[in-house]
Amino acid sequence: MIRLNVESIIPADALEFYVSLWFGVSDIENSLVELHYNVIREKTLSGLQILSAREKKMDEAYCLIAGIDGVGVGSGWVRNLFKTLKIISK
Amino acid sequence: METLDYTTADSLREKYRSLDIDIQRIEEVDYVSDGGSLCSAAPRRGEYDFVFSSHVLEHAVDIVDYLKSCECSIKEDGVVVLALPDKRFTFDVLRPPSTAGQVLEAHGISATRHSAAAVYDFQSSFAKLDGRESRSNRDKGELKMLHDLSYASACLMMLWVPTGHITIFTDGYLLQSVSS
Repeated sequence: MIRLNVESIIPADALEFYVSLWFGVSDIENSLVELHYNVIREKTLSGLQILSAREKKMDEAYCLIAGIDGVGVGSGWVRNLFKTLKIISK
Repeated sequence: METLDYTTADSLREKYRSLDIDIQRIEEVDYVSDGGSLCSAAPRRGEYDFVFSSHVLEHAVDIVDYLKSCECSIKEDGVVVLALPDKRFTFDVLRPPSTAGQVLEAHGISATRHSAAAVYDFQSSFAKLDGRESRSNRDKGELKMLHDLSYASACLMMLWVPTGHITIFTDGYLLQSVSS
């Protein structure tokens, strides 16, 4: 039983936006029909700053990048994020 | 840092060799997914601090199931970051955004393949601008469909939707609907 929480929705560039999610105790199916209860913290930060407030305390992180059709092309921003935040990716 | 994709790095490099993409930037792929759950493709359940999902969710048949698989992959306090195309700036510009009802229906019937409606909508509404793939509704030029309706109908008959966008997002609209 999990709950989907939209933590932030951030406009990135002309093509895409970033969404940060976390999961709590509930279930997604029920959450889906409980519309519009979440407070979305709109931000105008760049993609590289998505997680800075939460993750600056973290020294290292273990990550999975799920991509489609060329994960390397799309994953540079993830590596840059960790470099910017001085997080070592495991 | 591990990577997951739908095929191997060699296959991706071969695919993009003739295109204007630096194939040296294509990284090794640790896990190849068959389109199913992340948990089945990447065996480390509950171990990731982050799952970065880059332009995947819009292709998923059942996005609830995909989000569940993200949840089972991360630690208890882990975070999932989704990078999603905003329809206003892609070839989806002419399509309406997906609704929570459509998401629920796909999950409710435990869909494992794209619906006929999704196939037809993708193929029939793929936009081009002055002969090019449309990237923005702010671009000036003549906006047209890339395919004629007979092509879309043929795809429908075959339920063929190569790497198509099935769920259509615009800035936060759907994910605000599906969260609580």
